[in-house]
Amino acid sequence: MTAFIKKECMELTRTGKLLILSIIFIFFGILNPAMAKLTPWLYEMLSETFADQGLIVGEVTVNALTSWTQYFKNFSMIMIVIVLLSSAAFTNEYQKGTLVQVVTKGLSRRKIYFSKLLTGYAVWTAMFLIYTGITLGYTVYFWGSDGVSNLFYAILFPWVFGMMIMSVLTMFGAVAGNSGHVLLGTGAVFFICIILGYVPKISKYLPTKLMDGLELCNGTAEVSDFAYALIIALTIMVISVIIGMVAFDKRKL
Amino acid sequence: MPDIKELLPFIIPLIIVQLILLAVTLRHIFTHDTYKRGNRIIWVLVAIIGMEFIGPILYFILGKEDA
Repeated sequence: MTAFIKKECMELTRTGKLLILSIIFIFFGILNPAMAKLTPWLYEMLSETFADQGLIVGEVTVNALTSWTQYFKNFSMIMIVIVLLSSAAFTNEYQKGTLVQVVTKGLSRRKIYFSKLLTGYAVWTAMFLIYTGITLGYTVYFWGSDGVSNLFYAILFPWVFGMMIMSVLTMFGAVAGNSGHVLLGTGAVFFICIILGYVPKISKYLPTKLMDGLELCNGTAEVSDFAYALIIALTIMVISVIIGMVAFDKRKL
Repeated sequence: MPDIKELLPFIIPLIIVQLILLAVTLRHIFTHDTYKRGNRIIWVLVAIIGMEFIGPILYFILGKEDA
């Protein structure tokens, strides 16, 4: 199993995927505080246009929350990036037929499945740490952490959401025929959650609620408000891992 | 425009990351003889002209041959 994980990591570095991913995430990580820093200037530029429309721009204050607002705004963006780039983990191998050899040599399918899953988790965690770490570093350096509450939970929950998406992605990878199907399946789960989120009554049960870390930061929500969403997300995670495992045992390679 | 000195902490890391990406891309281009499409001159030009992230990423997505 360690050998197969090693192979997965090698594939990531040799195909340049890891490099592209980390560069995109570094870029987005820097972008958040930079946008916050530029906000007053942007308003100043637009103030004339606003004045014509009868809007008067007062003093714009920028603080740590502005930077975190950007952070959570860009979050769905980075989810899309990571889903796009890791969607082919299984299907590439189906198309090339490279899994047939390792299975006939005696590597169990479960091990292949879990290596792929663990590598997916590891990549997501690493990228998340890059993204969060850079934003955190800049934000604390420029504005400190005044007025930001529950920051730990606010960034922990989106990470859990990402882990859930990676599990769902791996499940669809084990089931689907090509990477298009994987994207379609994962995208469907993602967008069904978002659309259902417009219904106020059930929105607190949906995993996408976990991405609303901003509410935790500015204090409009309590950590306990997220309990249902967290439980549902973890349940989906476990269920999709199990379904994927069973389906991968049976599929034709 | 805010003082350029205030923006330096953002710009310097971006430039460093960009140069690393450019170096890796050029190394990859020069150590590979065949590409999915285009030839070496085109990809070197694309990577250098579009060096603000977009050129190297284009190369890795469109130009790099599958192993």
